[in-house]
Amino acid sequence: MAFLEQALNGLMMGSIYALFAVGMVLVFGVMRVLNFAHGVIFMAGGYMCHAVMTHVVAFYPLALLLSAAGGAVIGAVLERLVFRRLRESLPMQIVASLGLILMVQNGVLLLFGPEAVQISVPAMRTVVPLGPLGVTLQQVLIVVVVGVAMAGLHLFLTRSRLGTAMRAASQDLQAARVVGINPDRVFALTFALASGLAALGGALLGPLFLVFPAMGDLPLLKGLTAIVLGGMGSVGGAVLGGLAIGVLEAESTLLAPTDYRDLVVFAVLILVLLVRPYGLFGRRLRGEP
Amino acid sequence: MLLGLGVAAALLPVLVPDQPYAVQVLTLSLCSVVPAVGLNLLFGYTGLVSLGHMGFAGVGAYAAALLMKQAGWGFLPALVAGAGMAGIVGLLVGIPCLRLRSHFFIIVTLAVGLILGTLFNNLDWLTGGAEGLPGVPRPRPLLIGELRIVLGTAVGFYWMAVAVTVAAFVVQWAVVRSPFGKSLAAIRQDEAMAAARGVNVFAHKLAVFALSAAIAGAGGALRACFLRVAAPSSFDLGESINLVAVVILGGAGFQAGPAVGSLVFVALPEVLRVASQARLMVFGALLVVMALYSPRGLLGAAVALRRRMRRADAV
Amino acid sequence: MLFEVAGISKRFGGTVAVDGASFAVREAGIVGLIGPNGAGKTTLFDIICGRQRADAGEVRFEGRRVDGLMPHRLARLGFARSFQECRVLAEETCLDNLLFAAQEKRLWRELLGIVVPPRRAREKARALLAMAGLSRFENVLAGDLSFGQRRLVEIVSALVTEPRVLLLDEPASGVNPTLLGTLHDVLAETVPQMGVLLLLIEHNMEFVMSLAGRVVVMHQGAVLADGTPELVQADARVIDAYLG
Repeated sequence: MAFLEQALNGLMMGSIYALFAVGMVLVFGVMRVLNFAHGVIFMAGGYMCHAVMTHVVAFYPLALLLSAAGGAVIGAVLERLVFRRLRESLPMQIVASLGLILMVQNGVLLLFGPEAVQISVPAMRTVVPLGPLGVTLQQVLIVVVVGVAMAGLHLFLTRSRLGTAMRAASQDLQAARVVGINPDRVFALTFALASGLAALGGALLGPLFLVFPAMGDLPLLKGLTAIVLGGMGSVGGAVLGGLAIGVLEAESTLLAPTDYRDLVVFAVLILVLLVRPYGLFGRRLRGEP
Repeated sequence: MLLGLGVAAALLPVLVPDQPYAVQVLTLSLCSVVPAVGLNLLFGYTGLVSLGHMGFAGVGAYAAALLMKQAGWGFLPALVAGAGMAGIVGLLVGIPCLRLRSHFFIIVTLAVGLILGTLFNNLDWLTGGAEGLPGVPRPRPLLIGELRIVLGTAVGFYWMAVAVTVAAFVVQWAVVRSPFGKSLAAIRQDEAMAAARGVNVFAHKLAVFALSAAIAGAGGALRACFLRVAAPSSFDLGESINLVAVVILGGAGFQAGPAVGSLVFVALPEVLRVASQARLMVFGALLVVMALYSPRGLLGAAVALRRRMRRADAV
Repeated sequence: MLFEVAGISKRFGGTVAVDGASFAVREAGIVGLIGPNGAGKTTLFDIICGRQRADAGEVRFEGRRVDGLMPHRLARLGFARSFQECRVLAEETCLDNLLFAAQEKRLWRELLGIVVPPRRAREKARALLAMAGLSRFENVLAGDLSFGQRRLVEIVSALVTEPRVLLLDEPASGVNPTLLGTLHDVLAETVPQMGVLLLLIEHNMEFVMSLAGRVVVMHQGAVLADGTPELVQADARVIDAYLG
C-alpha cells in the first residue's frame, strides 16, 4: 500500500525530473553545453506562473503556457548572449552558470523577498480517487501535462523539419552545416525549447511545493543525475533516468529516514557508473573499457 | 608576488594594530585560501573540475575537531591528521570516479560533495548533526625552548593561519615545479599525448586528487579550529561552488590565483556596502563577464593587459 | 627477432579492418608501412600503440607480447609515437616540450625526486632542436608555431626520449617542402645513429621510398608485399592495389 503510494508520488516527481533532464540533454547533445543555470529557469517558471495568476488572469492552463513561453524567451536570450560563445569550454560554462544563478536567485530575493509564494489552483483542492488511494488533481495533471509535452517533443523531433535539423546537428554539426542547416538558429531554438520545458516544470510544481528562489536547485541535481544515468546524449535515456530517480527517491523513504533520500539517489548513480562508466544508455567511446 | 603577499599578511597586525574585525575577516578568508590552493592544483594545473571539494575540507574539519575534543590532541597534529584523513577519503573516491569521462566526473564530484554533506548533517553520533561539533578547544601555546608563542588570541591564531596557508602555497609551488607537476600540466593539455609519453594518467590523477583533498582537509581543520565548531553549513554544496568561483576568479593555474581570488571574494563585499543580494548579483555578473572575456581570471586578465602594454611600448 | 606483428585481426561491426596482418623486423632501421586508403594501416597502428585491442594475433617486441598494453607501459618499454593530427604541449615552449618528453615519468620517482639530470637532458634537447633548425624557437610556445614546425617539435620530442621503437603516423602530411626536407634529414641522421626501429606510415611515396630500407604494403587488411623499396615499386600486385 505504502509502496504503491510512494510509486505514484515518485512517478509525479520523476516526470518533473524527466521534463527538466530532457531540456538539459537536448542542449548538451546539440551544443555540448552543460547549463547549470537550467534550475533558475525552472524557478523563473514558477514565479512567472504566479505573476500571471495574480496579476493577469487566474486561469492556470493559460498561466502554464505563458510561463513556458516566457522561459523560452529567457533561454533564447541566454543562448545568444552567453552560452553560444562558451561552446568550447566546459569550465567556463560552469562559471557562467554560477554567475547566472547568483544573479537570478538574488534578483528574485530582492524583488519578491525570501518568503515562498503560493500559487492557488483549483486542482490542488480536488482529490481524485484512485482505487484506495487519493491523489490531488494537480498531481495527475503534472503527469498528464508532462506526458503530452514529451509526446509533442517526440513528434517535433521526428516529424518536423526543425526537429530533424536539431537531431542532425547533435549527430554531426559539420555535416549538418554542409546540408544547409544554420547552426546558430538551431542552437537558439534548442535552448529556447529546453528552457520552455524547464519553466513549464516550475509552473507545474509551483502549486504543489510553493515557489521560492532555490526551488530549482534540487531538480537541477536530479536532472544532472538523470542525464548521466541516461548516458549523456540520449533523450530517451534522460526521460527514463528522471522517472527512475523520482521513483527511487520516493521508495527510499520507506527504508531510510527522509534525510537520506538524496544520498540514496547519488549513491545509486555512483554504483551504476562503477558498472557502466558510460551510463545506462550511453555508448562506449573508442578505447574505453 | 607570493612571497610579498605572505610577508605582508604576516606583518599586517603589527603595522595596523587594534583592528580586531579586520583580523577576523582575514583569518576567515585564509581558511578558504587553503582549500582553494588544493582545488587550484586539481583544476588549474591538472584540468579536473571538482564541484564537491568542500566535502573533503569537511572530512578534515570533523576529523581534527574529534581528535582535539575527544582525544585531546594538539592543534597541529590534529590538523595533519585531518588532512591525512581527507586525503584517504579522496583516494577512495578517486579510485572509482577518475576513470570516468570528464562530464561524468564533474557530476559525480557534485554527487560526492552532496553525499558527504548529507553525512555531516545526519550522522548525529559522529558529527553532531545539524549543530555540528561545538567547543573545539583553542590551540595551546607553542613552546620552542624558552619562547612561548600564544596561539589562543585572535592575532596569535591569525599568525598560525598565515603559517598554514604559506605551507599550502609552498606545497603548491614545489608540486608545480617538480616533474610530477610537469606531468600534470601535460595531462591537462593533452591526455592521450601524456600517456604516449609514458605518464600513467590514472595514477597521476589519483595522486593529485588525494593531495588536493588533503590540502582542502587542512583548510577545513583550520576553519573548524578558528570558528571553534565543525558545522555542516561550512562544508555544503554552496561552499564547494563558491570555492570553484574563488579559484577561477583569481586565475586557475596561477600560483597566486587562490590568494587573489579569496581576497577579492572577501574584500568585494566590504567595498560594496550595499544589500547582500545586490552584492551577490554584482558578483554573479562579474563571473559571467569573466567566463566570456577572461577565462583565466583576474591574474589572466592582468597578464594579458601587461603583454598588450608592452607591445604598445615596442611600437 | 626485434619486433613482430603476427596475425593481427580487427573488425568493427561487420567490416574487417585488419585481417591477419603479419610482418617481422629483425633489426633496427626504417620500415615504411604503406597502402591505399582503407587498407587498415591506421587500425594496425592504433593496435601497436595500445589505443585499441586486437581481436586476434599478437604484437611482440624482443619476444615479449606487447599488444593490449596501456600506452604509458609501452612508452616505458621504449616506444614513442607521433599522432596523425600532431600533438604537442601547446602551452609550453619548444624546449619545455622536449624537456618534458625526456623527464622521468614514473609516479614514485617523480614524487621522490629521482629524475634525469637536468643539464644532460637540456643539452640533448638543444642539440635536437638545433638539428631540426628550431633553435630560434626554443622559447616560443609550441602552440604559436606553424603546423610543420609543430610536427618537427613533436617528432624531436619523441626522439629525445631515446626510444627503441618510433612509430610515426603520416608525419609528412601537411608539412611544407622545406620543412619536409629538414624532417627527412633529421630522421635519416638520428635513426641509424640511435639504433631505433622507425615504423613509418606514410602516403607521400617519395618520402617513404627515400628513407625506408624496407617497405611493407598493406591491402584490404593484410600484408600484400614486403621488401626493399625497389622491389615493392616493381611489384605488379602493388600497382594493381593502388590503381584498382
